[in-house]
Amino acid sequence: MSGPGASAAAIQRHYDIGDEFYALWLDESRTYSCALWEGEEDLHAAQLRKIDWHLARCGAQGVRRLLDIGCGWGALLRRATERHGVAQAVGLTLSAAQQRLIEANGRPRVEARLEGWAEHRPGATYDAIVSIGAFEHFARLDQSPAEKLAGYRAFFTFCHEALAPGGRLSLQTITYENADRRDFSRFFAEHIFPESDLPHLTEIVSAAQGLFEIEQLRQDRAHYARTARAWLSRLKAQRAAAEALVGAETVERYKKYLGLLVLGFHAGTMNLARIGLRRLEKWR
Amino acid sequence: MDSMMSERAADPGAAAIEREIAGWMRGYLAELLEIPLEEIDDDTSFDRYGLDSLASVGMIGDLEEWLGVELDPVLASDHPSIRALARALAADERRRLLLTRRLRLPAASRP
Repeated sequence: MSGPGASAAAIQRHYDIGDEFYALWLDESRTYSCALWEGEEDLHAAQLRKIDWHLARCGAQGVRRLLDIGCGWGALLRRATERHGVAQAVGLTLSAAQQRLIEANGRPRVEARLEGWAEHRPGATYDAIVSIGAFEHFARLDQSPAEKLAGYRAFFTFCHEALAPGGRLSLQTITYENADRRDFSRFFAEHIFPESDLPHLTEIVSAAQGLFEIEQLRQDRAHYARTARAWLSRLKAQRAAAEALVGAETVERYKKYLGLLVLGFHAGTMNLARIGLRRLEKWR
Repeated sequence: MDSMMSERAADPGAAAIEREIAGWMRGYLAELLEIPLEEIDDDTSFDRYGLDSLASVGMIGDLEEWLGVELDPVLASDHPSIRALARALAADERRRLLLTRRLRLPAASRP
C-alpha cells in the first residue's frame, strides 16, 4: 500500500501509458496539471507561472530541503533548484516511468523516489512542501466519508511532521464543486482515474484543521478549462503520431477525457483549488 | 475581401450551414438513440434525449470529425438542442467561410 488512496497499480495504469505520448500534448516542461494563465500566452509560460506561484507560496526561495509530493516528470524539482536556489529537491511519485526519467537526467540536487507519502521517511525535516495534482488520488470511491477524511487527515499529519516549524505547504487539487461522487462520470472512474475520489473543499479544510492555517485560497476552474483545451488541441494536432504510439482507441479515450475535463470545469461540476497552508505550532 | 462581406450577403450562407449541420445531427441522434429520424425534434434538449456529459463530448467530437473544423467540447452544453447548436455554429463569422467550403455549399453571393 502506498497510502490511503489509489494504489500504485492504479496510478501506473494512467501515468505509465508512455512518456512519449504525454510529451506529444503536454507543454515542454511536461507539466500535467492546471496552469496559471495571465492574459494571452502559451501553455508553457502558464505552466512555469504555476510552478513559480507554488514555490513562492511555500516559501521555497533559497531553502535547504523541498519535498514535492506527486512530482510528475520533475518540472518543479528542476525549476526549484535552477531558479529558486533550493539546495535539495526531493520528489515522490508512484509512476516508475516518471521516476526513471528524472533519475536518468542525473541532476545533482534533484532526487526522485518511487514511493507514496505514507511510505516516505524524510530523514531530515523539509523547509517547504508542494503537492500539485496528487491529492485527487488520496481517497478511493469505495471509502466512507469518515475513512476518506481520515486519509486526508493522515496526509496533513505527515506534512506537519515532515515540515520544519513555520514551514509551508502549497497544495493544488481538483475538487468536486457542484457535483459529488454519485453523479460523477463512470467513464472517469473506470477508464481514466481508477480508484480515485475527489475531495470537497470542506473536507480539505476540515482535515487540515489544527495542523495548518490556510493563508491563501484560489479557485481557478477557468484556468483548468483553458489548460485542458490547450492539451486537447495539441493532442488533435498530433493525432497521427499519438495513434502510432498508443493506438487509435487510446487516443479517442484521451480526447473524450480531455473534453470532459473542459466541460466539467466550464460547467462548474469540478473546481481547481490552489491552497497556501502554514504549519501551526503547538502553543498550549 | 471575405471580411468585407456584409452581414446581409452572408446570411444565406449561414442559413445553409445551419440546415446542413441540423440535418447531420438529426441523423446522428437517430442512430445513437435508435429512434426513427422523423421523431427527432430540433428543439428538444440533448439532456431530455438522455445525453450525459460523455455522450455530449463524444457528439461534438464526431461533429468535429465530420466538419473537419476544431470545435470546443462545451458547445453542446452551452447550446443544448439541435437548433441552438446548429445556429451557434453557423453564426460564427470566422468559421462560416471554412464551413461553407467543407460542406461544399455554394459560396454566398458577393455584394
